[in-house]
Amino acid sequence: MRYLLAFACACIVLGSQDGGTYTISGTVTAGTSNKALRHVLVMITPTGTAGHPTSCVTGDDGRFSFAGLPAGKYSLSAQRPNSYWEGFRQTGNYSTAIVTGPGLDSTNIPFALAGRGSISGTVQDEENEQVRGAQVFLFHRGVFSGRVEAQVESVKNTDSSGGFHFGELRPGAYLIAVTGQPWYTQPAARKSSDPEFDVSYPITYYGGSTDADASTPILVEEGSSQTVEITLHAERSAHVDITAANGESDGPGWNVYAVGPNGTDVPVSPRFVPGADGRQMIAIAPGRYIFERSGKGRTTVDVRGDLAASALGSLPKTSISGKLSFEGPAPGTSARVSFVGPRRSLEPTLAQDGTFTLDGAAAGQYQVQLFGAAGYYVKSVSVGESAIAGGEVEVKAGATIHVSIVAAKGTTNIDGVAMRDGAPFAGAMVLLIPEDLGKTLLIRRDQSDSDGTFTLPEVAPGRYTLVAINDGGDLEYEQASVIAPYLKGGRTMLTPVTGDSRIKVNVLERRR
Amino acid sequence: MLLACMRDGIYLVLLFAILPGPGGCQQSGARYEATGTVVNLATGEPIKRALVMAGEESVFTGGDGHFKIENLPEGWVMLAAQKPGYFECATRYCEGGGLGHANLMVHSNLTDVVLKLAPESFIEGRITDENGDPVSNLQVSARCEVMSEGTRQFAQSGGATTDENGNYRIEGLWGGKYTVETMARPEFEFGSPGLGGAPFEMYPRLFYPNTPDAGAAQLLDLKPGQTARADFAMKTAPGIKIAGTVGPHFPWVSMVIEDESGEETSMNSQFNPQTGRFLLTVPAGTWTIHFGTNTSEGKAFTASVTVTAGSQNIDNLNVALEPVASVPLKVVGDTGGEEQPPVNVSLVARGKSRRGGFFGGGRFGKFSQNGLEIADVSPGKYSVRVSAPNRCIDSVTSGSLDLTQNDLEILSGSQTAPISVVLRSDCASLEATLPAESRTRLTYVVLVPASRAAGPQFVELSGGTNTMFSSLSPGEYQVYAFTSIDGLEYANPEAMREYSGQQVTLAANQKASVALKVITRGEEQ
Repeated sequence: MRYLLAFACACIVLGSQDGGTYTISGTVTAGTSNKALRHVLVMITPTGTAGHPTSCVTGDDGRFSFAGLPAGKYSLSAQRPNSYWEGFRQTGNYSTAIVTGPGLDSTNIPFALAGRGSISGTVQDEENEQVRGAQVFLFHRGVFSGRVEAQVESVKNTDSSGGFHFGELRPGAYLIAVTGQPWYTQPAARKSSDPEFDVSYPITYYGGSTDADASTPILVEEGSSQTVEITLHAERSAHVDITAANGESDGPGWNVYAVGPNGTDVPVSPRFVPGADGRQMIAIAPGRYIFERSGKGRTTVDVRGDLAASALGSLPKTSISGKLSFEGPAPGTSARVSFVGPRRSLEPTLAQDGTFTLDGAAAGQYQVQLFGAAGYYVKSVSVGESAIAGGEVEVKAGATIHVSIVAAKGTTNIDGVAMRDGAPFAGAMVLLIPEDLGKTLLIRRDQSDSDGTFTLPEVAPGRYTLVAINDGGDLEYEQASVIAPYLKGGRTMLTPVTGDSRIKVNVLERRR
Repeated sequence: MLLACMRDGIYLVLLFAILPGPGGCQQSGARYEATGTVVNLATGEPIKRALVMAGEESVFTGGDGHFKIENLPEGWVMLAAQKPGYFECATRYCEGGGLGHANLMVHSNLTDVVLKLAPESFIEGRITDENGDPVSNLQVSARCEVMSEGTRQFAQSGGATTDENGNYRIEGLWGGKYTVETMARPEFEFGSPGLGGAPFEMYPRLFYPNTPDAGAAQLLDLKPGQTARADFAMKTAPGIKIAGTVGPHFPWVSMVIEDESGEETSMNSQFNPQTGRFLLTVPAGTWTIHFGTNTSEGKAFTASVTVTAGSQNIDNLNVALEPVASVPLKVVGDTGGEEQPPVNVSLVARGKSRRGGFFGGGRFGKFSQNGLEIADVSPGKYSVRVSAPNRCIDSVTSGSLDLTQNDLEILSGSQTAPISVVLRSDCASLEATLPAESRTRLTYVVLVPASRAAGPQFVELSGGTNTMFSSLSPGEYQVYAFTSIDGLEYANPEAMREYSGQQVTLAANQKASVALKVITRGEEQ
């Protein structure tokens, strides 16, 4: 009877794959509570190119079972109704696949879906009245892909009560920024000179600061519901003249951003107001802004009062031109390059002969990345006649540079096994770190599967150190000072690797 | 243009100006002030920090809702109030004019001006599944009842999405009557439907209260400032995938789905411009899918397919888009020669479909390189409306079809016979006379022709006792007088059956008159 009951409630798929003899089974639970989750869609997909996914929905006991599987490696993922797919032991874009085969236990897997929390809040003005229609930006601040970032998690408008709500949030630290315009500044017929109505809200962070660096993080834990209040204070608007040099007004062509957490662009919606003599002005709260004309460049300006058109000047006409060429046969027409900066990437459109031009690029340091060319890597980068030894292209504001990129065939995949105490270890973060720690685009990462195996794809020739770290998902490994202590416990190698088809690496404990 | 039931953000944007006085009265250099109060129409309570504007002058009300606005020149001036969360009018129709503004003659200081703002209304609720668990991220929409040329329709008015607790709240609604519906979607929203063989279940579209039948939807009558509640208990049903290919190649293709009754509904759909493959997920049933796109030159292509989705997915539905029809027009006067514009011939979409003419998509005849025609007419049923200054209609036909009595059906991929309009100049006129007591009130005189081609018309009489309808085609008419036509389906013969009007038959060149009794409708009834 107990067996029949369990069968009725469980998610069981029999003989779904080629009549094999292995089983992947387990229980889906909620966060760290160990509470079984009913009605969860669970799916396994054979890794590699062959095979089709198989799925079922858990019963009241949260159990799932896929029987009759041939030996192989399967990604395991689950989705609650109205939520997103989540891989088994997922960290960032990595998860642990389940391997079936002789001597491998792939049953009774505890599949804990990440817990969620929420942030609710209200936005009010200095008169304690709710601000409707303000834009609320939610940033998730943490370590993503080995570096600290503040990623925009969601953007919402406040409702009629000035309220907002962000649900289904992963545990972590969040920042909130609010932008908007006082509602009473909108009517166009009013005298723009009336100081009471010529006001704007500066970007305002939770904690009351208008500076991203001074914003107060909100910690969301599993199951927690945080409530916050944010008050906007209207300030006398500064007027920035955006009339073009030829006297024409092109307000709609301008985008204005506040400088957000970790240098992110936070779009603000300034008021475009008429100035004297047909001039076009932007009314905006004093602060630090990026003024951008689509495709024509951008500049960062500290706005402390009214600014004449000359303050924006002629935007620095930064331009990157160049050519992508291949050593030996080209891989086809799908190859693309990207200039990857710390905060943004630029992807030029390549002509058939590989030439490209990028106008209006932001100044900064960029690494060059190759896409759509499996088996190829960036062998050399030159600016003008000079080879770039460090791999980074420096783009100065207003400069015009010519970049020559040479790609060559020669990447390989590295297969290995993460080991601890002489046994394969599942769920470890595996990193391949280049000898030059500044070449972060060469870093390769994987997460060891249930049999400890991993694959690092598309490794360019060179000298590297292979490390495996337990519980290392939030390690800021792109920082040389952070990863350096682990390198001593890693395994150095020269790629392409010869002879050793499956490299073993010992799993290191995370340093706290 | 149809008035929407909801407006966002700032609720009143008036172009206001210091108006010259009647008769061009001379303005002096004197300046005056106006004082008054802004109040909540629903509660009578004062509204603090409302913005009151007159010309370029603006002030906030105080905590007691009181305002004082200075520096007003002599003459007519518009005072207008606004505040987020309030409307100028109680309903979308703004019957009786806006209450949040006043057009006043200034020749001395104005006192005790009262401006009333109507608070917005809300619809909120919670959506749960058959186990009582919240259904999150489900779209809910409200449609308000609107009247368009005497026809009752429901227009999209606002929407919201349930949060992780299944709660939703639709904001910014005017007072009025609303239906509430949920959007159909797969239970596991972010997975490919039925991926991997798990049962593919969908939340069906439901109307409040929990009915799939639009005709059984309950009307929520919202007063200004009121919050209505509409909870749903969802039950999943097997979902069906309808997939196939649309050709020829276009960079985008839109898909609109109608159920068996012709009600348009929202469904998840995907289109791959590279392959032309499309995918729809629907609950079991019979559905008509309208495909449409436009070329960069603006040429429209459409196709419509009706499929019955049972228990099996439909994987290979091949759809061929075809150029939409252009319907040739021929307009002839009673002298036998072809008429030139300003004859106005339009097609008004019929049926429950929200596509077509109802939202301003009515197609009008105009000259093109092909001569007079109505271009880009999507497949569907239409009534044909004709108007011409100082002329009336003798006949409107398409082949042998009498369009004064029948709809014109445009079929996908087939040429429609030209619409032939014959005008005449021996038009009749009709004078409607009201009882003397109508002098003191607002009265609406409604004229409903038997011919569909002319369409009904009404005249709003403020303090008068007679009105004249001219350029009428000879034929039969029903004439009514009402105290209100708010919500009156005067173009619907079934709905008008409960009212006793006057039937009039007009002959060529006849100048007829009719005495009407005023039918009391609305709150006065």
